[in-house]
Amino acid sequence: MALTERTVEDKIEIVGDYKHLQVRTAVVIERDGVEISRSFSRHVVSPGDDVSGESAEVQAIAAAVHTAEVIAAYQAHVASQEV
Amino acid sequence: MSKARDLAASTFTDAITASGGIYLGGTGSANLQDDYEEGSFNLTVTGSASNPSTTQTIPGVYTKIGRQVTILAQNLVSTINTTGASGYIVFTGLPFTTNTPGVGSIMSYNGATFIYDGGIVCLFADNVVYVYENASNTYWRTVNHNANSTVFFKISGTYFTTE
Repeated sequence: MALTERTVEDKIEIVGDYKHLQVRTAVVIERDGVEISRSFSRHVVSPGDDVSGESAEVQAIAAAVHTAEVIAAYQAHVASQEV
Repeated sequence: MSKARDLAASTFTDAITASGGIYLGGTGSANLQDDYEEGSFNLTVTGSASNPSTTQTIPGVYTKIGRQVTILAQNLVSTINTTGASGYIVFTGLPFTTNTPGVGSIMSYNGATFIYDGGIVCLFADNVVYVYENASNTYWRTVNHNANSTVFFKISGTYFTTE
């Protein structure tokens, strides 16, 4: 019997007007190649965030959708919420 | 016998998979329960003027039912050190971005400087948590850091996400 653990980004979603990237990371436990457990953790990448620590896939998506216009619009949106 | 009667008369001991969702109380799109998820996330403590000298995170858990997200984040097991943080308190890292801002609860030990001593709430906006205090007959205001080496925060609430 062999237990193995692997981590995978199993869902990357682009949501909302400002193209937030919702990233779900799954920790998968397998016994002899058969999945017996899957747990999730999540984080969100906002326009303008530092993505250097993200996966290559997330970096590529961010580069495609977080354009200068989107980043500027999101920064203006954030500023409007701060009182 | 209809499928509904079959289900009503049955006992399931194993998990049921319904990848398309389940209609509850009707068959319209507003009745479709098509998502449930549990997981974890980390809030990062930041300040509007400066961040803590070293990155400080608060572990949290979430449950998503449909578009509704409920979170609980707390560092009650070990303290965090917000030395170096200034300006108002901002936590980044909600697990889902908000559809419209939601309001939750927050407790703080050593971590915040209050002016009004009024009601304290946290605002969930996008993937960020702001802390506000209320006061009589005036506007709410953001709450500033009390930079300290021994800080606890406990944050909870429910908000709606985009999808």
